[in-house]
Amino acid sequence: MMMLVQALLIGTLCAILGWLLSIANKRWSGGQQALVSAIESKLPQTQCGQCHYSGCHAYAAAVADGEAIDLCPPGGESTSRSLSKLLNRTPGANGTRTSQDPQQASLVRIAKIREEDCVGCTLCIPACPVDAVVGAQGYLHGVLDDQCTGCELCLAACPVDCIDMVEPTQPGTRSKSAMTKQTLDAFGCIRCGRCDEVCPRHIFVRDLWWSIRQGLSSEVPGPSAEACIACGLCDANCPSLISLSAPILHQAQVDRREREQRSLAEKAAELFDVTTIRRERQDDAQEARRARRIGRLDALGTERRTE
Amino acid sequence: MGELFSLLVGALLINNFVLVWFLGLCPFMGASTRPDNALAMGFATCFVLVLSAATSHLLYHWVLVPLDLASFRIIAFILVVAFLVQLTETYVRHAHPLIHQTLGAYLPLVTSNCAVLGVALIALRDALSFLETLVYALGAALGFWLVLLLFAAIRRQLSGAAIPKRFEGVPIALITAGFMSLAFMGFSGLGQ
Repeated sequence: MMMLVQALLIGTLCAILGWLLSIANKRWSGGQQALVSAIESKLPQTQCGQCHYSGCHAYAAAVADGEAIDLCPPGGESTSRSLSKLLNRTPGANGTRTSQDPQQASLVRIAKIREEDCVGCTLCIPACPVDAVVGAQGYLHGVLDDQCTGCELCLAACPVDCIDMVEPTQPGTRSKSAMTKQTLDAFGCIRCGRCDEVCPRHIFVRDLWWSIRQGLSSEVPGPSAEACIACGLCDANCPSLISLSAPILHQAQVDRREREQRSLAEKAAELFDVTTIRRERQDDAQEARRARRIGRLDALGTERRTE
Repeated sequence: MGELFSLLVGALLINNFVLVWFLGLCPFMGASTRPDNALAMGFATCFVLVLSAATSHLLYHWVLVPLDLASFRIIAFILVVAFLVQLTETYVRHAHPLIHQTLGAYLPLVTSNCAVLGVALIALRDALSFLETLVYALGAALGFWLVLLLFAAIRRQLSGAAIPKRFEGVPIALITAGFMSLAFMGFSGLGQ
């Protein structure tokens, strides 16, 4: 009897606490929304639907509910990394589908423009969220393979449906797309010189850009590529939409690396000289010491002999 | 007043729950990988610890003893702790969803934090009054928080150190905890 009463009392305690919890749960049901918007702010907002959700918001809500954090191809590794930092989760740890899955990774396709059909309307250029489409009004456009995330947003923008989604080509053919971009940009430049006017560091952007393109970086008057502060004003003011700053910045990097290597080499040579001199000096000293010792022994020998 | 203060310092430093009594080691190891995690985890544990010690004290003296249920105190205390943890978790999920995501499983695991139950039981064993229980729990909670933060800071420094392959991760953390424990033994002279 006593036992029963005790069990009943403990049970009552459980029931009361449970009831209080259910009230709290109802009272504090929000909060999910803030989490969803925090996750959404890390997504690229291409609304492409490649994660198999209807858009970035839907995917953010799914992530908040425990979906894998690496299903966003346009965001790529950087997005999954920032999400993992935000949520303290490892990519692919708690989801069924992951982009690390080789079968799915091979399904990521990139855009390719059919050259014979492109009319050069530039409509696909603003549609691209990662600026992977290059080209100018009236000229054939191209897609940078290594920049394209395969979001398919350009497909809808193209009025003549000349963009195909294709399997990414082998790494070796990537340089081809870079060449296409250079060629396209070269056709696009009308040598108007607006880039020179807007540059805050007074770089002769037009000449520098041309010389970099032709591999003659040292012969341009004015500040070198390393003066570039990557403000992007030249890009913004180019009537042919050429990305001028990218090759200039690349050149600056190359120059800097070359200079560092040169100074490193000089330092190494200097160090080598110093050590060689020191070693020679040591050898000389040793030689002298040995000579002295032999001399002393000789002297001792003659002394003994005379005795 | 002086007695209360010595109780506080005693629970905080001299008989630190983590480093001297080795209670609550799982969150100590688990939630100390990042200082911000440690800060949030320490706060949640503090909150639950103080509240659960106070509630347990009231429950024991006002409900369990009059109803002759004193032998059920462990079950009842576990119930109270679980309830408070769940309440805290619901609230954190509501107010700070990001912290909730970051803490992940560690927040519900405060339930199984032996320090939380330990404080309630030790306060009972030493027949502390309500005020004394509060101060004692506060000291224990602050001690846990302090040690967790110190440990997280040390682990951050360790993450950049060149540690032999065999000692990476938990082994070096346990060795570090051992050294911290040795250092805290220095406080034992404070009591005399």
